[in-house]
Amino acid sequence: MNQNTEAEILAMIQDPATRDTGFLLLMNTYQKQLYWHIRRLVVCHEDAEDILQETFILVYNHIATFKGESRLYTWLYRIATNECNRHFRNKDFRLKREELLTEHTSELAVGPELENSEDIIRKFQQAILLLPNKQRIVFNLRYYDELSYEDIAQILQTSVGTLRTSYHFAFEKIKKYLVDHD
Amino acid sequence: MIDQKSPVNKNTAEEFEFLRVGKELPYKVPEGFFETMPERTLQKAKVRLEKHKRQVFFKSGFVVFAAAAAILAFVFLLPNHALKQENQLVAVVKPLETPPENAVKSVQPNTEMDDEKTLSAKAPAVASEEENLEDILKNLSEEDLSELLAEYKADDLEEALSSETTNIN
Repeated sequence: MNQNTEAEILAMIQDPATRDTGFLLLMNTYQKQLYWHIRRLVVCHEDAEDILQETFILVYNHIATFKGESRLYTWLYRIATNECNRHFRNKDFRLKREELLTEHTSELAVGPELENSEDIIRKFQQAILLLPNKQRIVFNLRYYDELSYEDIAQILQTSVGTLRTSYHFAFEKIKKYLVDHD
Repeated sequence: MIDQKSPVNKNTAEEFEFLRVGKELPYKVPEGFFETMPERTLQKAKVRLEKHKRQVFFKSGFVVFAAAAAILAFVFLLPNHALKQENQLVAVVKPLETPPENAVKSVQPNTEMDDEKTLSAKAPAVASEEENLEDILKNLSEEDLSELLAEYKADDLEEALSSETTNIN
């Protein structure tokens, strides 16, 4: 997604005549990557669906407050991440983490060539789920979404130095977990 | 968006572990989820926006109504209140102009200050009466005084007799 397309979508949403079309275009462009960002954090599909929907409803109702100081997708990630953080607080997520993983990984979405990797994929997710929330968010944004530290810094409103440290700790903890549970 | 410093792009033994895992996830999404999601979300967003607009409308309507009610109450109640206060003032002032006996009664529901004022207005008259009696007593002769004593004793006797008769009846 380049800046020009972002600007076009924004212009469509801000014009009352094309608002709905612009919004649908925005959702079709970003919903998958936002869904997976949310799903990796909350694990449960129903929760991920609710948070994704809430994220886009907030965008629809507050698009006028977007000043264009950051990229549109970092703004979307920021709203989605804030909603996830709210979810963690409301549902006492930390206590349910391990239960969630066993409940929601029964149907493994891996291809036939990765069937032997099923176990390592589960362990890897378990290791990520055991991380503190901030480290988990940083690790996911960096490893799965491949965002730059600068973009993550904008999303989480923190410094690049702090993010590098968080990622390093997360990496070390996951590595240790995989070695211990091999 | 891919950063050259990303561990995915590094070829070290540590990252190899991650590369073995790849980016596959052990999660599944219901079929057709991404196709229906945008339209469902749009409908929900519209409903939410309408609800929000209605809330804002009712809130602002309530504020306007409350302000109008306050103004009307002020306009209608202020003259009555002012009239009441005026009447109360008249009620306080009038008894002070009438004889002292009535003044004490009419002023009683008001303040202690007013009571003190009426009493102090009455006090000089009593004092002058006492002075007159003293003067009169000073000017009496011994014979007059003995007559008065006799009258006083006779009064006591009459009182005693009358009380005895009432007890008998």
